[in-house]
Amino acid sequence: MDHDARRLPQARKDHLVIEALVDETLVYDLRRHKAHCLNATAALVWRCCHERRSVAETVVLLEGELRLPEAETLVWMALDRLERARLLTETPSFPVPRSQYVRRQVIRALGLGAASAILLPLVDSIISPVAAQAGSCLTVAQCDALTPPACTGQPICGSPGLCCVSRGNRCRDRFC
Amino acid sequence: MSRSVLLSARGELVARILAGSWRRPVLPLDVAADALADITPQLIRLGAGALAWRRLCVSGVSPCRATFDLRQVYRLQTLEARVHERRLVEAVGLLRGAGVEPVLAKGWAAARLYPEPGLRPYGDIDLWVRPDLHPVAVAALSSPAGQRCRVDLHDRFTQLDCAWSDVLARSRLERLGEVEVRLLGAEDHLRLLCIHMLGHGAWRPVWLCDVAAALESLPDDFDWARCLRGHPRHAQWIACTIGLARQLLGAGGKGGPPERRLPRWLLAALLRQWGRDEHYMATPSMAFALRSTAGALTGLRLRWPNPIQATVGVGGPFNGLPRLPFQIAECLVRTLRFARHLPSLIRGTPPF
Repeated sequence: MDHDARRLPQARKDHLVIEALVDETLVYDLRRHKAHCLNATAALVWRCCHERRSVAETVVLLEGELRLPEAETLVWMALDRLERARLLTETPSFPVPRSQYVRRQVIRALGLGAASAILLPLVDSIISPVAAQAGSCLTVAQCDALTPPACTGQPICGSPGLCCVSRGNRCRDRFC
Repeated sequence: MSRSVLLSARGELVARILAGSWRRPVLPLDVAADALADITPQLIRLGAGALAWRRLCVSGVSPCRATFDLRQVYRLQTLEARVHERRLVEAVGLLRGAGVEPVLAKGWAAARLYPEPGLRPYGDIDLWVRPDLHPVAVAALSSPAGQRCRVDLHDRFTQLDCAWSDVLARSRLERLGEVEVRLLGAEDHLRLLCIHMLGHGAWRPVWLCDVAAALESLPDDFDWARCLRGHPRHAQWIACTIGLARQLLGAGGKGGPPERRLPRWLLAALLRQWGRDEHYMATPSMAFALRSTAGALTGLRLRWPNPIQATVGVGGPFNGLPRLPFQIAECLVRTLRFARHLPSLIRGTPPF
């Protein structure tokens, strides 16, 4: 497969809190109040987006650092996941329909074993409604992360008179 | 098995899981898979999920739903810690811009003693300002940027038994990113952590972990006389809290008040509290609960004070006497206070 010389799309930089851990990168979107966890493969591709590398350069890096075969497909798969999580500023022009980057299909197409499959790019949303209730009060973001019936009027941090209550099928902060 | 025994057993498991969880390096944990699955939602509710995860990840526990949930908490809290730090820096900047020097306690002041940022959960930011500058601080934080910081502004240290100038003289600056944040002196902070925890009935085990982490990080010149100053009853409360941290969580640290036998009810009340699913501080305000009969009954049930909260609430001693009179007295005091604020709550304006 010919490696693509096009530049990767620009990674989003604004309104994000980024925390690199040993084997994953955590990202908090301050605008949408969403938290994401990027595994090593997705994080490496995202880093390459920050550095405006080309697809071909990214493929070489992936093959070198993570010992991944057929890395070009994985680069596009990572871009698909990053774009869905709104961590890119533009939509990449994918060489094939995005439906082909479904995890199971990629595993089958590349003939990956269980050991390699865990290296497929992953951008997971971090959702833990119970955790959002761990504080003695909820932030607006934590309240928004809940769904009824979990919002039972918990106080909103730093805002006397505001509570987290259900509004339709969502939880929102309102005066109570 | 009676409910009380069951709650105590759950509380003991919480304590066993959290023992030493703030240390570097952390020791592995031996816990059965079914016990872990059972206690995990409780650990998360109590704000102790990330600390539990820290012990589990060195324990060789097979991946399961419980480990996944605890890891998610750890990830979320790691990110929230960074967001919280940003807010703190912004709030301190806003207040200093208005000529007010804030003092931070709890929150980041406690979290900085842990080996990683996301090990304890954050809520709002507790900042103290001089009483005469309180209106200026309120105005500075009323802007949209200030409101985003979610500051809980205080103007007096009820737990510290000393003048504001004295508190400020013992405070110190610690760097956070590009700013220096003023924190309470180590003696004042340990005292505040202990009394604050007891005042809320010690319902969150992470508060006792804060005390344990503080005990193991005391500076060489730590002045125990200052920490235990003032009313002897306060010294007794602090000594008991330190005793709890040592006995339940294995906290170390040098010096300290002489070891004392903890009242039997104290340990039992704490373990039962840690075993409970609910606490009124994580539920709607009473004004909200009163909107329905069921809500009001639940609200009242949850507000029955545990023996620790009741004793501290009425300024009682930690001795061997029964706690029921303290619980009744504290309940009455709180009911009267609530009744006094009810008109403003009904009008929809916050009483504070």
